[in-house]
Amino acid sequence: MDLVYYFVVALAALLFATTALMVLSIRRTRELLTQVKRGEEALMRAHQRLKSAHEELKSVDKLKTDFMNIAAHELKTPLVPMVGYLHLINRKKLGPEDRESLDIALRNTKRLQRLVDDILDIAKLESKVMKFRVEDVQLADLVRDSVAGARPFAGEKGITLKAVAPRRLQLVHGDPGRLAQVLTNLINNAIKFTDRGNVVVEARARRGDVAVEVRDTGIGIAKEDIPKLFTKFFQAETSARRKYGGTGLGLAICKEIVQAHGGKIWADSEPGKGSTFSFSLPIKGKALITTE
Amino acid sequence: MVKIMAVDDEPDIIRLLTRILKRAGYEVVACSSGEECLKKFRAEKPDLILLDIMMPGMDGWHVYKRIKEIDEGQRVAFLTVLGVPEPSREAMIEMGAADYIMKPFTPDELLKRVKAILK
Ligand SMILES: Nc1ncnc2c1ncn2[C@@H]1O[C@H](COP(=O)(O)OP(=O)(O)OP(=O)(O)O)[C@@H](O)[C@H]1O
Ligand SMILES: [Mg+2]
Repeated sequence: MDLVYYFVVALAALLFATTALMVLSIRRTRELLTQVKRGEEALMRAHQRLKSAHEELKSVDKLKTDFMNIAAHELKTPLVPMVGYLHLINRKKLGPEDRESLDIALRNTKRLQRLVDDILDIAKLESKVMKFRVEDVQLADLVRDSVAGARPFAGEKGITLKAVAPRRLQLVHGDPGRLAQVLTNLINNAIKFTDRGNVVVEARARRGDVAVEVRDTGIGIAKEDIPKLFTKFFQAETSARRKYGGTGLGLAICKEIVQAHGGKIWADSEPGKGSTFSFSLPIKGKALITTE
Repeated sequence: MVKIMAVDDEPDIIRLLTRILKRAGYEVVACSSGEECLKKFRAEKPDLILLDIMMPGMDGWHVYKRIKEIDEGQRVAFLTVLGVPEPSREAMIEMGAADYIMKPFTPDELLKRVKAILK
């Protein structure tokens, strides 16, 4: 009898306890659910905010791009009839004085054209609105092509120009036109600042990246100038500017392009002996170029 | 005689295009706006339309799309001052454009491209 009594009491107590626990746990579950829901809502709000911030950034980018396009249009449009008509006159037979005048006009138009292109490039690169194509690029081919393109300039100055590259290197990811621009700028500098000797462009594979070197036997660069080389409008000493021309934008453009590709660019030099400009680019898959 | 329609809002550039092309023996129809080009091209039946992109009013893209809606076979080449084609030159040629010619150009460059398109 007693046993049954205790059993019933124990059962009742157990039942009570379980019910209480159940009620408690249901309440707890509800609380948890509300918390989860609140968390979800907060996430949604954060997502919304991020989205509108992103939209805003995109519209700022669009404003910048639009501005660049308008600037390019306005700066380049007057050049179109200038270049076109000067070349039409250029086909004519002219006396020596007119010939000289026209040649000077043509030369300066070309200079202005290059300056406009360079200024637009650096503005786009620095404000990060430059659009890059992303393709597989064979730097060995690019080196050979750029060297071939610079051959007439080297010939004019009586300098030997040589490309040293294996038949194939590991591919890099990037914009072939822009990378060619880097090579051309470095090669043209090397020729420009070298009065005798040679310029060698060498590409080789390293661990994880591909490196290109442009070596010359030219005037060289003072040690204190090396850190300033890649800043825009920098040119070593004013006399050099008058002698060699240019604006000091070439290397700044190179730096921006190489860095946008996830690469590095640097210079070594010994004044009077020559300079070496190098850049390296991560091989395909190691780093992604920052587009858009 | 091969007929080329030149569309550009800059009078000096229109005159330049006309002069270069006429001297090379082409017949030239000049238009100073996209609207004018759309109005004229069906009657004129040019062998090639040289179309500027950035123009006030209807820009080159819109004009291009309308032309292709009306006559898919019409040959059109873009003229542009922008350094980086957008969409890319390849994309445009895929879209059916005959070429993408950068301004400024020298007469020789222009004629070479035009000849290549008409071949
Ligand atoms: N290979 C080189 N040898 C010696 N000095 C160099 C060499 N490359 C660059 N420099 C120095 O660095 C400066 C900046 O070069 P950068 O290419 O930016 O401008 P630039 O060649 O003077 O003009 P731009 O490239 O705008 O026509 C040059 O003016 C020159 O003083
Ligand atoms: Mg330079």
